[in-house]
Amino acid sequence: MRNYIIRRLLLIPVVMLGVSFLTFLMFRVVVPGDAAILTCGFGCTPEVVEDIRHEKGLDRPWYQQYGDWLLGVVQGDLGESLTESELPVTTELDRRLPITAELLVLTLILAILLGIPPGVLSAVRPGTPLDWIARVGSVLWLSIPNFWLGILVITFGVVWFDWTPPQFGQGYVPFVEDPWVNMQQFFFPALVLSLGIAAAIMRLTRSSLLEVMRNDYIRTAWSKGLRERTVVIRHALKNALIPVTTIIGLQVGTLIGGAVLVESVFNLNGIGKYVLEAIIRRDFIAVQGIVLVFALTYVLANLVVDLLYGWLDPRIRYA
Amino acid sequence: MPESSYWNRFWRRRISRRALLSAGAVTAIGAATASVIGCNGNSGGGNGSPATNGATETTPGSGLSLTPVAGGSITQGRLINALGIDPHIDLTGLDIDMLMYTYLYSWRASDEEAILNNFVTEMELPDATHFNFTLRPGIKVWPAPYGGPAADEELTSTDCKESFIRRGTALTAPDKRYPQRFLPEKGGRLETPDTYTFNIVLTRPFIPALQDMANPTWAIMPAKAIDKYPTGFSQRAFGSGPFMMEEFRGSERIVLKKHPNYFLSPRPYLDEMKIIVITEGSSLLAAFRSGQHDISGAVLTKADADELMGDDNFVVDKFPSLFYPVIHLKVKRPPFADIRVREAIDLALDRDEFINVIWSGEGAYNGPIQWPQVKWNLPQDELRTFYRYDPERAKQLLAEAGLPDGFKSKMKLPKLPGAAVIGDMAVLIKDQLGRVGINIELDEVELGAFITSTILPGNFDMAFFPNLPYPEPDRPLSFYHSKGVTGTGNWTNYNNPDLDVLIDAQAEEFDVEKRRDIILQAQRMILPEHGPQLTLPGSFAYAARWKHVHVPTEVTGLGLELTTDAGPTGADIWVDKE
Repeated sequence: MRNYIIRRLLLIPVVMLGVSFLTFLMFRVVVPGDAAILTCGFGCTPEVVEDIRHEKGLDRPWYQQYGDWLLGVVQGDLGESLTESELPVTTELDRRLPITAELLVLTLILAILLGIPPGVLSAVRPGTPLDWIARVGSVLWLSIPNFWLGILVITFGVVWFDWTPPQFGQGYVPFVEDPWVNMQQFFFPALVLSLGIAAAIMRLTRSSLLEVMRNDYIRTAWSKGLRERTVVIRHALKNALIPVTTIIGLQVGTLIGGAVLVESVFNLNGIGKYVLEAIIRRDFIAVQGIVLVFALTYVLANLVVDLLYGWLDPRIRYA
Repeated sequence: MPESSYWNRFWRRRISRRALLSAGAVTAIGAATASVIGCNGNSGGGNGSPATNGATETTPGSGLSLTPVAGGSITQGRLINALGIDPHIDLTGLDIDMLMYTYLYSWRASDEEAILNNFVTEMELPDATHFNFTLRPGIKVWPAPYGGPAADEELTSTDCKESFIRRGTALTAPDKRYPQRFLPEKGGRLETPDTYTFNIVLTRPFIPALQDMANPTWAIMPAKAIDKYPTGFSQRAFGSGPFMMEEFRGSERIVLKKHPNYFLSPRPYLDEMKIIVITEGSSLLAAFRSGQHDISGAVLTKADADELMGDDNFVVDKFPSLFYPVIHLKVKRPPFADIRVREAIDLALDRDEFINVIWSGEGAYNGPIQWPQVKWNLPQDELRTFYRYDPERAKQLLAEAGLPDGFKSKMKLPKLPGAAVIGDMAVLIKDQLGRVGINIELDEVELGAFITSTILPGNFDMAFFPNLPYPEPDRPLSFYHSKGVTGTGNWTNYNNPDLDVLIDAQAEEFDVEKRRDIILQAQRMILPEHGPQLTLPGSFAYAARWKHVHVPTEVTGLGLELTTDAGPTGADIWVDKE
């Protein structure tokens, strides 16, 4: 197990290198636009653009720029934003990371709470109204784009209750500072973001549990006269959760993508909103840093999921 | 110079304004004294008796004359991120810069008149190339730690000179035409004969200069700060204006605090101004409606405005919009190189339908100069006669141009968050041109790429976007100059030497009537060219605030402007919120 973890951890820098190189390449080759011209604005001339390129080091060979940036990353310096002068990317990330982290954690908690119990109920009571409600609900949540749902939440909040989330008028309030305001800031964005994931979890939990419930050892458990709760929770659910765990791990990527939109709609100044703005501004130094953080999160989340398999099913061994 | 010249008229107005200001100053001194007494008599501060400074405001709708109350704070919404707040370099934070820096004077576009409410107390214009300014003593940079290297020091003529040089030579300065006339290396002069005198000598006259110098990019910065941070004011500010920078996070919030030593004390009335950035349009409007924002930052449609107008809690100003939608054509590329094709497009555009669909029936035709600029633009009747809707003639012209079945083209437009109206306009244009066989593919390009890869390199056949709200005729006309609006090149490749002569001439003609004649002549030369810009109708814009917020603005023919007795931007805002 330890060797497995070490091996996976050692692979992380290689993955990061690949991700950073692809991001760098994408902004230089594939995506149109140039940070120097954007900074320059409407009044610029080719000469001025060249001056700005020189000033920001964009006129050096690509490998030199990439190499310098990489050297900085190793030393914990992700560079300075190209368009927000003098603003180190790490400073912004430090400030924004707790916001996105809280959003993602709360979203995962809500997704699990809203996904697994209905999935279990739906599986143990197939064909009942409860099952139908859960299934229709899951289709509904999967179909609705989360940014649209976010706009609805805000609109109805205003129209019915004259209420908008506190972050529309003030900055981020940490949970330890004021839990009530913090929850007002995060509950609805997390709920909106979690519904789609909860629906996926619910459907998978249902199908996985239905399959497990048909196994011989479950029949044996029933024949032993065990209570339904014991059969379902102790014997069936744990096994049924293995594919669910996989899907939760994979959903971290979806979550990060969703956070970009939901943070914008709910004005949460997290990393998702930052990356969106940086892309619009062609601030590839900022984008490279953010993508690196996202990639790291994704890789670590998948590592955690892999380790969870072993806990859920002790038969699984890591080669 | 003839008696009727622009400058003579300006000079006469100035004297008259000086008399007015003298009377106002006496009132203000008395009022300031009274306000101090008032504050002393009420240790509660902000919620105490009103500071009686003699200024009054009539709240729209209420008909009551109110006296400003010192204290309190407001929150204002903002749709776009402020990437930086260097007034000489960054264009996205200029509204914030105006609250923090000192300017020479304010400008009222509708009267074409300077309001001497800031650094300049007197201005002399001995001839067309000389501006002599007498500066106000006692304007101080913010105290420490806000004021940085020049904290608490007085602004002087040297600060003006250094600021003008910095603004004029900044890499990203949006317009080079004026600086090229005063910079020493170009033969101009910036003189500082004493601490409170600042003179500008131009190489050639430039009419828009007076208005330019009042725009937010011409902030006066302390020379000491410029020396210490030659390129670095994007994320910091060392101003002397009504508000001090407490916190700057350009994509989140900006917090400004009252400048305690402001020269117009007791102004600013507010203790604090918070600007909250929300880049999602509907969220921004929701924040305003729910009361989290006192002043709306959303782009309001007529429907939004009508709804807000129906609520007594809000004050909504409706004013003529100087933004004007424009189709840009690359006139050297086929098929747009053929004037018959350009005319066919003009004839296929149903401008009345545009007004009805886009502007809910409230709009006016724009010629090369926007409709609110009634002094300079062509009469509506003339424009309506010229821009007739005639799809049959359009088809005929296309056939004559060898395109009997029409043609296909791509029209690029920017994707602007929070401004869906741009997309709506483009769809209507596509529909109208489709009726005569011109099939337009809409290519919505994200704003950054639109500027960098479409407009600046001129990488388009057709492009659609609204031009900025210029409140004077020089800038809109410059789009048709071979050197373009920036003075460095025309992205549509349009080149008409006769028109260049007229556009250059109007920028140097001080006699109003003569200038107007030149401008009308230029527009009449532009219209039959059917390009490179095809202008579409404009309408009104809306600004909304909660009724407890009082701002010294009024609706004029050119938009929402400061009242003539107002202090610098932001200084006179006050609230009567419990």
